[in-house]
Amino acid sequence: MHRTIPVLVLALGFVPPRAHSEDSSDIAELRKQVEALAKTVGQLQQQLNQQRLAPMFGSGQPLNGGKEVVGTTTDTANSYTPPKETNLNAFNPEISAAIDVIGSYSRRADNVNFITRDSEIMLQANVDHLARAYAVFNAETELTPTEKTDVFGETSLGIEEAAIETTALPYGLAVKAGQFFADFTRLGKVHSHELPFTDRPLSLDSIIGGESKARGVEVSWVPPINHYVRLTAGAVDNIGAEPTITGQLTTLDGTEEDAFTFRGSDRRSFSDVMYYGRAATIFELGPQAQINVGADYARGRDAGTRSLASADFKFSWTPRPDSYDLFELSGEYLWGRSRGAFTDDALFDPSLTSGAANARGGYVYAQYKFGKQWQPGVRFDYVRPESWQQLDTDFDGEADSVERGSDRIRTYSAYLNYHFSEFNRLRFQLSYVKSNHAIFAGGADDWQAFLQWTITLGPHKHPFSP
Amino acid sequence: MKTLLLLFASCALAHAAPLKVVTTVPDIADITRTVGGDQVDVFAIASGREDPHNVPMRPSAITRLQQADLFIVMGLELEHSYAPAMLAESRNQKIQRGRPGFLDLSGGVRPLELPKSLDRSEGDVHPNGNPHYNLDPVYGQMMAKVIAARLGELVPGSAAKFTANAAAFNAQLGGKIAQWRAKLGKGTKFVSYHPDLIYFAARFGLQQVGTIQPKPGIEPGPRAIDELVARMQSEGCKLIVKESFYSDRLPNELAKRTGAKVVSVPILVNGTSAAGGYLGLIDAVVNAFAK
Repeated sequence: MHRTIPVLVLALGFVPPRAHSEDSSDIAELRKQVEALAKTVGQLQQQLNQQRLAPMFGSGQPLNGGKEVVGTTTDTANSYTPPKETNLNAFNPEISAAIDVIGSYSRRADNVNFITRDSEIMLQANVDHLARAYAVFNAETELTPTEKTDVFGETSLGIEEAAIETTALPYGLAVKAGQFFADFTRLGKVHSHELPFTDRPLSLDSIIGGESKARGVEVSWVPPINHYVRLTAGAVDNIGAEPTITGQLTTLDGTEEDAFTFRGSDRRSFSDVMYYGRAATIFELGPQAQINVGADYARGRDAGTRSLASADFKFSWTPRPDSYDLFELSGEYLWGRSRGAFTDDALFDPSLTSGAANARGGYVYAQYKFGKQWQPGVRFDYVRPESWQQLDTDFDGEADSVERGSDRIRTYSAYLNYHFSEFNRLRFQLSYVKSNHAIFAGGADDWQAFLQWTITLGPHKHPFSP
Repeated sequence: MKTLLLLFASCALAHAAPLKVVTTVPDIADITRTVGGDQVDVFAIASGREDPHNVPMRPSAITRLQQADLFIVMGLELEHSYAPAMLAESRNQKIQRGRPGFLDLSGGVRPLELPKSLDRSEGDVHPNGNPHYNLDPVYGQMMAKVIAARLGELVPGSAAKFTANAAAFNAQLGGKIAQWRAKLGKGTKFVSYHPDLIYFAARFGLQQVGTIQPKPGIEPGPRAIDELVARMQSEGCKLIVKESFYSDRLPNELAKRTGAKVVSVPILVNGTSAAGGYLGLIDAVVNAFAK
């Protein structure tokens, strides 16, 4: 049909010159023919257009004045096909999951544990044109190699993170609100199965209190300048998944409770809110190396006044860009302090009604990835946590004084990762922990071994983290 | 009057400032420079030497994205490991997906190797098909044309110039395609490390017998190597093509067992020193095959 139209048009083009020389009846005859031809051309054109449009509109309009055309061989494109039903599941959020299985052994405690530390489900999607939201649900079991796990202990699914984040603010700004891992320290905001080693460094664990979990609001700003900088400020209730060690009082029977009173008892005033800030930037040292540096500070009041500060770095180097080799050297220095009026259990001496405890420490690790699979690394961690302890100076079985005690704990670790794929990793880690006190079942040091198998399911995403 | 003058001056300045373009791979950057001339300031995130699936996220690229007017990607999930995170961190509304400042060139591609099902047991499958179409020079022509059209929309005053530049580039490429075709033996059988030469092979009538990775992104075990050796021997395949960023350990082992020859090829512009510029890239690949 495509060829018929130009031929007809050509034929029409040749008609008029001949018509001039003929008489009027011939002209009338010709006019009739021309009109007939024009009509045919118009019909063909219309038919052609309808055929062209048919695939776009699915079934198209029936030809021949609405007569049934199904079954005719020439108009198959116009036969009725039911329109595709909209599957609203397509709007469902992205789902990903992580499973983190760990077998641990403590030599001092002579104890073997098998745990699924993280069984994590993450949902995330854009809410609308202005915001995205995500939620991370986790059934977490704590990693405690020296203590036998309770096989009948219940593991409950908790909300690790649930937050809303803006996506369309101007000037490089973004606001996040909800429960989230605050942009505070380098490894505090990393989910435990994504850590470079099996256990969270003890310094981070005792000073921050595990992950930098917080509930509140966080504003981050990437200023539109020629050097990458990310500035974060937040207002939250507290930072940390567990109470920090500096705010603890160890009673005579060994239980831990708050050492300091809540200033506002059952309310939280604006001056009690924890405010924090972080500045992070990255310097490129040539095309193959870069160094990330960051520093942060937080201050708030929950039980006593708590201050936190840290500084961190990460150096990464690709010896050859046309390979997968990657060297990383990273470390962090942390400091924390709790201070306030003592609770009744810490109050014995009228001259000592308040106190403070400091903790400081840090870790440094280096790892090298050979190709895509093997990745050995070493880590050193040091922490000097202080906390208050009840004393029984006259040996009558009753506490009669408090004292600020401190430990010095060093952890030396070596680990080896084997990446089966980007979603499947096996890790072996050996740690030697040494304290100045007998903090492990009857001893001051311990050898701990971990075998960890971690997988992730679902969409493949790498975050950008300064 | 003064304000009018100022307005005029600022308009003139705005017009004179080149359009800031960020591309994921240097191939797009090179073509964009050719098409855009001095009207564009182009920056590529990938250097071209690394595996295109494994590009480091450098902070300088974030600041470039933050100020960019146009972000051009290959698409088909080639850049999924770095581009989405960097685009989000740039917080630049102009270049987000769906905006005029975002261009996904895979819209002009008829993808090969569309997966029949999506399952991670099949390796690093790309849901919308194989993304390595940059090695087909006819798609190189498509990229020039599509880039010229988008640049023309963003700088309407220079649209004609962009179209003319693209036409000149495509004519040059057209001539080269004929030369390359003559240089390449038709039906040459080869094995590559990863399935990134299939568009090139389809264009020039070459035959990929297999890949060293039994599934995309999955390193082979001894059994997979044995199977590949058997296939190469039964097919009479005498050429192993190793992409520049893969280790040569397995290709050499395979060569020893089959008597085939190993050649190293770039798969992105700047992948090797010979592959400077888009024409240089295809030249380098053709030369490796024709050696």
